Amino acid sequence: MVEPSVDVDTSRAPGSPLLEAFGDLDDHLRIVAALGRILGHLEPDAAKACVTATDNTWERRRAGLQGLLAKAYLVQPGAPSRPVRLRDPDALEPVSSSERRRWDDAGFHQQKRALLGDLVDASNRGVIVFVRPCPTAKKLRHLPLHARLEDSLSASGTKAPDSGAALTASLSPDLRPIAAWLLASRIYDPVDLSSLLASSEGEEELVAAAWARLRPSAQCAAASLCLVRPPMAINGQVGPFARMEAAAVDRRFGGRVASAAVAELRGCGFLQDDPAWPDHLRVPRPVRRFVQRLRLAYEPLVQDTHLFLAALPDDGATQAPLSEQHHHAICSGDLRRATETAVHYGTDLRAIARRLSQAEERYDDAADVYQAIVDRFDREDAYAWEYLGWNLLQPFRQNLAQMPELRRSRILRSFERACELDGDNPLFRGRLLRYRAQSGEDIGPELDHWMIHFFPPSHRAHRTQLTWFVEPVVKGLRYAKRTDVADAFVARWRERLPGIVEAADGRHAGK
Amino acid sequence: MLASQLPRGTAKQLVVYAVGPGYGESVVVLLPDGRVVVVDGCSHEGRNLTAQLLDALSVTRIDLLVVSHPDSDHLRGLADSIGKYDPALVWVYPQYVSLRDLVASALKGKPSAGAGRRLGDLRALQDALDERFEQNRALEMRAGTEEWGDRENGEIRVIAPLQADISEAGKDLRALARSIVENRALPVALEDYLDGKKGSALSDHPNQLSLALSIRWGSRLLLLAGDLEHHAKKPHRGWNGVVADLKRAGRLDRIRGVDVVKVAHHGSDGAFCEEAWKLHRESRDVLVGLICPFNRSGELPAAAALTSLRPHATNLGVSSVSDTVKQRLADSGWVHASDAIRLDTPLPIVGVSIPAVGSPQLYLGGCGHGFA
Repeated sequence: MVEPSVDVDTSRAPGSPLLEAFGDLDDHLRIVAALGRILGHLEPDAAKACVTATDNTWERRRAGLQGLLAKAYLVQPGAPSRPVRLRDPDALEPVSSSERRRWDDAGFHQQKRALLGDLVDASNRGVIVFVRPCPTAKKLRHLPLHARLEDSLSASGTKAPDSGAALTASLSPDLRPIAAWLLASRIYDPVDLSSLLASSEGEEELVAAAWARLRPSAQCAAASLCLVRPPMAINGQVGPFARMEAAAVDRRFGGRVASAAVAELRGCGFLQDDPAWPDHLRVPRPVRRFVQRLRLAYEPLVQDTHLFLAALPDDGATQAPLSEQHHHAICSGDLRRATETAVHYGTDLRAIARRLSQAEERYDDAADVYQAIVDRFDREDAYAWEYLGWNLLQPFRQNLAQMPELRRSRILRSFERACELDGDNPLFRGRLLRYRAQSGEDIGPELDHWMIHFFPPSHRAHRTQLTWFVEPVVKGLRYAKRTDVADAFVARWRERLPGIVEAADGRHAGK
Repeated sequence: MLASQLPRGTAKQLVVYAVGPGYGESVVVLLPDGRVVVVDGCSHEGRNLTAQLLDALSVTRIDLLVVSHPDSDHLRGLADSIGKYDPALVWVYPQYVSLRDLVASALKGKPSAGAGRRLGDLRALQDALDERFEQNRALEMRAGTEEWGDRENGEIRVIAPLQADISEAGKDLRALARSIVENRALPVALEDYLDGKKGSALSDHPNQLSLALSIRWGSRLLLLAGDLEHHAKKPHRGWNGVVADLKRAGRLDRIRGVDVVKVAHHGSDGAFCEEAWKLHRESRDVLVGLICPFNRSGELPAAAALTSLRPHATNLGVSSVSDTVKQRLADSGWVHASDAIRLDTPLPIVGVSIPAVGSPQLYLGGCGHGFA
């Protein structure tokens, strides 16, 4: 087994592609797409696998990447392995439950773990994975990599006074300039800074302490700059968002970020020289995370910046990073732009669809988005099929008789497809049965079958899952004036599953 | 004895006033060289009492404004005072910016009426201060940050809060911020805190962040203790932490041998620190304590605190005295002081003039009383 090394030296390894795929906590999909493009250039005949690796279906994409990784370590006799350089392991680190997304939690994290597993597996078989550690050394211990920290980064920006040098050296490279600035500016002395760092959220407190010393104009500038996701540089081609030229930050942001504010942010370490790209700047991850949590406080500036970044034209000199524009269009809620820019995957479109549906009750528009997802991106997205049906249904849910026939069949097909793709989902099955009952079908004979399927005798029924199935079924039967069937169903199962009574009333629906 | 004019700072004396009608507190310090320091703002029934005092003193500009902590009773009217008196420099409590961002986020949600009012108070102050932050005329402070002035004319140092208290509060504020972003709703803990409900997860936080100031003029020492509390079981927090920190730094002189103390937290028992008060009284024949009562939910000053103060303070000036407080003072052995000078003003103030040489003199406004 080749032990991957953790190498922070940014000079290229011989024969390696110039390409570092950055990541962020939420963009493993982007990592795979980028890695696919990187690796696809290693072998001339890898084009087909490269396309697959950028395919919009997660499973197919992952399979394509696995194939490319397999090719990546085909070594010619006497030649070194083909290394793949991957930065920011934070992007792949499984996150704690407190940071989970509200939608598709389990699937989302499974995908990340799967990706990490593939990369580790590849490294164990000979692909050398270079990882630049942005977090402190102790965080690396959580990664299933045998990592050896070699730190060759020198602190950019302000140098800490000698009395604080040892203190700053103990921090991750990203935080050293910030600590050095606090010490050099005498905002903190080494004793107080030690006390600050000793707290359980010391690193975050450090960023907060520096943030508090920025002028409001610099804070606003940071709120805009931190919306840009970390760069993805692909085979020497750099997207317009990727690298912030120090001399052109204000121009890049259309005048939203003043040069004085940029200077102030550089001075305090919130913007740092990019060690890989001279004359370019980067926002270190801890700063980006901290500032992004303040996005509500900086509305409408944040909204305006997202719209601006979503609308940036392709400068023609580089491969257009449509995925970045897509991301900003999603964040801004600009449906038209989001749909235009959804080239590689449509998963993020769900965020807009949910907003249209839940916040604005624009059900037909939301349905259009889900239809686009299953048509253009992922025919096997069970969630999208389910909510296509759900949103088509909403305008007529109180009076199905008024619904046009074509719509009826679309709804039925959507619910059925969702159940085909996710057969173990009690909510999806419950809603399908409800709809069929409301449409006049006799679903009574099927109920026991599905109850046994979802809640077999050996299974301790979770009351939320029970409600997901039982509540829509009972509601559908009541709508269809089959209360007798509903009552009999509940009575039949009450002894074995006493919670079914509350479930029928939706009392444990959960959020 | 009645004085028709309010004492002012002169080359030979420093004067301090505490304004407190029973809810709300503010302090005005008139330094010997004419500079004016104001701590917090106090309004009552729509009247900005701090501004009324400043006008009575013919003050047109504030040299240093201190916003000690984010409790409503210390902030009312402050935004207006900032506009009117244009402070040259503003010191704010630590985590001010975190709380500012939290308030901005929280206002995107739908707070209750009570929480909304308190949010509004905070927001009004923040809007007034934003410009000064941009001009670097407003700074977050904490123990050990820069001093202001000089010993000859009055030097002010921040002695609290310490980093341990600040970090603790910061952690909770950031957790709230994350909750607001994730849930798009005001967390219950924040609602309760803004409603001033005791027992909420954040109810300690405003006082925990309170700035406390040590003001040195020649050999004279004035201590403005804010609302900082004691935390008897936590050696690095509150007053325990202050004493330990000053001891470590060899700087106990900042709280030793004090002439006047604006008693912490309206005279609550939780803010009384025996060790600190022993140091305050050292080498002093006279030590005047100033108390601005708090007449809601339990009423302060507390009987136990008044008793604890007996061995240490020789005189007490209380800015407004209810029947309950009067009884507590009597039960603790405090009797009316005959040598206090009554001021010809209805303002609920107590004041002390501290001469370069000699004993401090207590002054009483409208409903203020002096005790010995």
